[in-house]
Amino acid sequence: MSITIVTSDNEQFCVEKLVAQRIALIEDMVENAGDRPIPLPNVTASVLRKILEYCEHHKNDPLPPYDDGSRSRTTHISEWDQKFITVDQEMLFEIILAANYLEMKPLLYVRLNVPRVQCLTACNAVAGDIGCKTVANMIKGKSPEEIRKLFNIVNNFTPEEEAQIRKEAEWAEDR
Amino acid sequence: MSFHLPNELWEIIFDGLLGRRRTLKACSLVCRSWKTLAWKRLFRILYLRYPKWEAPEILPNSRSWNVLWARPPKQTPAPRRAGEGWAPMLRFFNSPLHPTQHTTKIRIEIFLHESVVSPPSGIFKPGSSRFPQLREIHVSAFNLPLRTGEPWAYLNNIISQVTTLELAHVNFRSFDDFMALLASSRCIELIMSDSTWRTATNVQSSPPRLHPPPMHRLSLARIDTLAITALCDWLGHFNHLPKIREVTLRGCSPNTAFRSGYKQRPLVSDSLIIGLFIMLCAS
Repeated sequence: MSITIVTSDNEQFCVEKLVAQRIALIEDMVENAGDRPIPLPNVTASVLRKILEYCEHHKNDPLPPYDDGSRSRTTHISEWDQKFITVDQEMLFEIILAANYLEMKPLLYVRLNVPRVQCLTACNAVAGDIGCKTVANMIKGKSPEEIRKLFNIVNNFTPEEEAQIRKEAEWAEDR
Repeated sequence: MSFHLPNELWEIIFDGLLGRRRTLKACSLVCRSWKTLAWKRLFRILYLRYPKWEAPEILPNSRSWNVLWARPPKQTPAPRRAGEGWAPMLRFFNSPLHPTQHTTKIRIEIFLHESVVSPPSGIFKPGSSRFPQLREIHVSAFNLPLRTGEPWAYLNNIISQVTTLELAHVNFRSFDDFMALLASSRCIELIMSDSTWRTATNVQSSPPRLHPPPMHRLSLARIDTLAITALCDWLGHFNHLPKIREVTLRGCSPNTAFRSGYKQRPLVSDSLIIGLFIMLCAS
């Protein structure tokens, strides 16, 4: 059985239900949609293609554990996921945003009758899992200037503020 | 190219940087919004050690008031002038940028001996506005000598929202000082080891006015039994003993006076006495 998803740029995707059900938002919409296509106004075709690639690869994975707030702090990413997420930065951020919007993992918790509030916590974990870990890995070991350049961030500190922050940060010993 | 993500996603990204102080320091200098994200993690737990020397390898096995932790004299650099050592810490606590607003836990290790100047009176200013999120304080070897006057007033100033208090090798001048500290807090869990007070208050003859905090868990290790008696009397005076759900005692050797003393004190809960007695015997 398959369902049809329509992206913000009007591209239609015919997706196996097992694959689509990895996406919580779609799982919620399937019941009400019947045979009608499911619109995803916040996701473009190029991003959905990547998301579906991830879902297809992980469709037989066991359900992820309930996120109790003690999210793993490890930034390790599996080999396949690492390859999957090796995209340009714009796409990386689009994937993170889409994963957040699509509430991918909470789907599984809804089916396990976990309360909605817990699902939302888990939802955040979703977007964090690969995309956020990748961004964290990109930040590691870089200087403030390198980070600004990397993410196109404007330094909005006054020189006095910056000096004061440097001074306070001296307390945080390096390791 | 847009890199605007919702704040909750940046929070997740920064969680991946926990413990990486060098990176968090760099992030704090990127822009104002990143500074907040980085400082939340950089200053969430403060480890304060003074002097900034290594802890002695072998800690003295003593709970005596007069014995302080100290390094062998050969390895102990003397401060160049009084108060110098505390100045940077004082500046940090009183910084206009309020780095301590993110602090939830403080671990203090202070090794005092004759050549070390005690904390200045302004180290923790009155009011908890500088530590609005502080919930845990752990103090080791805060063995202030008698010359320091009102040592505990410093911690009293920041302890109002603290729910977990650990005191190791802490010697109070009196039970009143200890009561004042605890009464200033919202302590649910008290963990004490090798600590005592010099003079005990007779709760029976001079009833305390300070109410104990809502303690549920008590863990006492190598505490003088008379000190435990005073603590129980204080809790009993305010009918707080039944609220204690968990008591752990280690290495508190009972003596006859302690046991007979309990029998004469009707304010102390019978069940707690029995519980304490059993655990004392077991230890």
